[in-house]
Amino acid sequence: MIAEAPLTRPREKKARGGRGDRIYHVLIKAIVGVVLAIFAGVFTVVVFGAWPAVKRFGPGFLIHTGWDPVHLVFGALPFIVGTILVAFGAMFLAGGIGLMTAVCITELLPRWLQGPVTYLIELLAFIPSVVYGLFGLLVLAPFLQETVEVWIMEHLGPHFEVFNGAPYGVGYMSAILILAIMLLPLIVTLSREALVLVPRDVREGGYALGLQKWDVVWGIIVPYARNGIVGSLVLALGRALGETIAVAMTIGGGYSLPKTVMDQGYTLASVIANEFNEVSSDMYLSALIYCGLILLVITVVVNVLAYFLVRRLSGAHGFKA
Amino acid sequence: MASKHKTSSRTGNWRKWRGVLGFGLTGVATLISLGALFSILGYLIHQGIGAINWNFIVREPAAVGEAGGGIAPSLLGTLILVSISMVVGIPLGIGVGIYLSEIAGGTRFASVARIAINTFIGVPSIIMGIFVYFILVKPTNTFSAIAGGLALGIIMIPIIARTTEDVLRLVPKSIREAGLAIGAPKWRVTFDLVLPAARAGVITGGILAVARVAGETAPLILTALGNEYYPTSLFKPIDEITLRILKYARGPYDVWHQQAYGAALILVFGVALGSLLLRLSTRDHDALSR
Amino acid sequence: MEVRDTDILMSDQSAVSLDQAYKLRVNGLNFYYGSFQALHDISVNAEKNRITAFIGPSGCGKSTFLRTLNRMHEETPEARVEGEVLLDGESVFDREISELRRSVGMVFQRSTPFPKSIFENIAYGLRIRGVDSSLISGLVEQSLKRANLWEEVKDKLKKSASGLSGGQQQRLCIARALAVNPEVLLLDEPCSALDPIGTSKIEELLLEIKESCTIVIVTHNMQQAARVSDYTGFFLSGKLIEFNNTKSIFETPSSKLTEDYITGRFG
Repeated sequence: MIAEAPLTRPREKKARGGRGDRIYHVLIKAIVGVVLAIFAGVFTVVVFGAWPAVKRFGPGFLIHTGWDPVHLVFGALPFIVGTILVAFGAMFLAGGIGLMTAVCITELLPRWLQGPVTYLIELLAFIPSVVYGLFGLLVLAPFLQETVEVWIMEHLGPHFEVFNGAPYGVGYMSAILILAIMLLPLIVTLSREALVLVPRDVREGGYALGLQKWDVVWGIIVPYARNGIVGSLVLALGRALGETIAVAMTIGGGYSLPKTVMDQGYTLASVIANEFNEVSSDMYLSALIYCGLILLVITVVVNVLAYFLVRRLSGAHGFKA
Repeated sequence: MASKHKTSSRTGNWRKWRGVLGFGLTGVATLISLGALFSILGYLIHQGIGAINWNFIVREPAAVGEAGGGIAPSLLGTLILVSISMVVGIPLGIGVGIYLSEIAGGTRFASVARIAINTFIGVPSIIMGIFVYFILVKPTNTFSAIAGGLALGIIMIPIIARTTEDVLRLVPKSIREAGLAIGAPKWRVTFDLVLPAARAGVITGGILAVARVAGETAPLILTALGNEYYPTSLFKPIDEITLRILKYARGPYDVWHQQAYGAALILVFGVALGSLLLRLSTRDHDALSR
Repeated sequence: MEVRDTDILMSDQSAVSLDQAYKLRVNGLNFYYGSFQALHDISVNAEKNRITAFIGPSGCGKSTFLRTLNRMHEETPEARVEGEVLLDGESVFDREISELRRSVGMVFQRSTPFPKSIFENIAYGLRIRGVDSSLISGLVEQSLKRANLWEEVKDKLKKSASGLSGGQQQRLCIARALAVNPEVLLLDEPCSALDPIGTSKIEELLLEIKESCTIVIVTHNMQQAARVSDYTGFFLSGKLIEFNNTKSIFETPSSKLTEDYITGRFG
């Protein structure tokens, strides 16, 4: 008992276990260190690459229009606007259709059909971006050009400035539609999971009040699952902001602010992909990386938001570890 | 009395029709979702099947605009790039997953690492391309297979890390305690007991990550670049199937367009088939972890 | 009232003789989860080749106490211990941890077969101990026999352990613990998930293995403690209320709290 004090010191060391465990801990921690260093490196390198343009154009880069590689005058406003338009356009489109599809799967379809339909829609997630781009460029865009866009131009164009464009096929409209299809599986899958998690007694409580099925679905079940649904939309938004190649193939390309839904333009990601191999000067390259930096900051903010949103939601359902 | 009865039956009717209309709309939405899938897959098969033949798989691309030729270098390049990415992504990803689930617990550092992982899953892949361009392509003055594979591997890391952490956490705590209680050191508990119990899930996560990077194009534009020939060195530009699809889709020739569909069909079915086979091969071991 | 040897402990000589009589000795053990104190000043000894049982309502700290004996508590973050736990007179905190856990085996409330075959479940502990592989199948058989399981599983050793019944799985876990020849076996409510037949088989088994092993068992089943144990301790709210030979505890408890618990007036 009196010898307690000196005994406490070696105790700490031995508690850590044998040599195998020490090597194991060092190895795993080294891996974590390498990975975190890579993550930090990505930020550093992007800032480093953008630095000449940041120094030259400052924050004004974000609010100026104009993209002139010859005179080295660059402003990213059209791409920022393009990114927001395309991402939100696609998110709302896919959000509406995706949520309704999820409701149809969980509330309307018979049980034996729920699995197969969910599986088929999840298949959409397996198709690579470039294949969506291919379909958008070679099928959807020509189709829009010959039918929908002609009709819009002739019938809506004279009345609304926003529809008064030329039918190119490729452009904002194609990009938004293709991106919306790409977001569908994400939104359907996550919304469906949120709807399925609504407890049975919540549903039955609604029916016990004598409500019609539709009122139970829209008045009780969907609001109950709203955290999951909002989470799926935010995750979809994150995806949409960063989608590169499918958008690059369908948006056409352009350096000015869009005026109509049929205009061509660029998003932050697609301008890098399409212009990167055309780069003629260091400042041009740096301006593109500056676009990348803006994109990185936006997506990180959205994803951190989504992380906390989804975590809070899963915690509420009690399966948080 | 009579009039009251009438109004209530009218609102009843309206509610009924509203339900029919509402559910009808959800049905239409589902048809649109399924229609998108079937039109893309259908078009791919319809247009692409004609391009696929033996020569398409084993030959090099023909001269510009000419008929014939194949995508053999792209297929080979894809295999090489995906292999490099696996060498980078799998050990690092699984290592981080093990750290988060088995070692870190609820420490502050662990939650920072967890947020970093989840954030990086959402960082656009082209950003990884920019990173590798500056650390590898620019210093060596050449686009290369190594650079492309590294970019894809970095994209894999957070995906594998997250799925690994998730499935390891599903392994009951009691298995770990039982292992420790018979005197097994922690590293043996992790590798002999926990990982085997979660084997099916770890492999599925790996497949998802590989499938995801096999379809990546954007970072390769900045790193692997693509070319027309069989790969000869890991330190030279290399072709890859999505780069080939991109090039052919954007070209002006119908032959190219058809070959783009053919390549896309091979890519989609390759990814689907690969995942299916791997999943089937792990199924019988699955029973043990139940 | 409580059996406390603190006055005898003061002299070194009698401490040596205590080490011969008692396999495990616990002195002034305090246990904290963060700022919450789960055990208060526990002092108790476990005699060699005897079964010592601890009873008490759930949350009373009996399982926490058991887990400090082989330092399982160190796997819980925020857990902190003060005081002495001596195995053969040597502090368990000074022992190398894997080696300690081989000497002090443990069986849990939920049976915990590894995701391996029946044979491998037992062989695994031998392998990590570095037992020569030519000896392993003999030792596996011997352990299964000691756990009265051999006859039931000898034809399906290569099958997955998850196919066994709950009682069989629990005996497999005991066999697994016995395979490495532990000096002490800790059991944390080993029968709480079993039916009466499974329970009685485990109890018979415990009486057999105490010949070669010191057993400490935690149970909420008082009849079980009365049936199998030689000594019984009663825990309440993190304190060891009473500790004595089993007969005295159940027939003439000296504490009112113990009496109330045993007669079912609370808990």
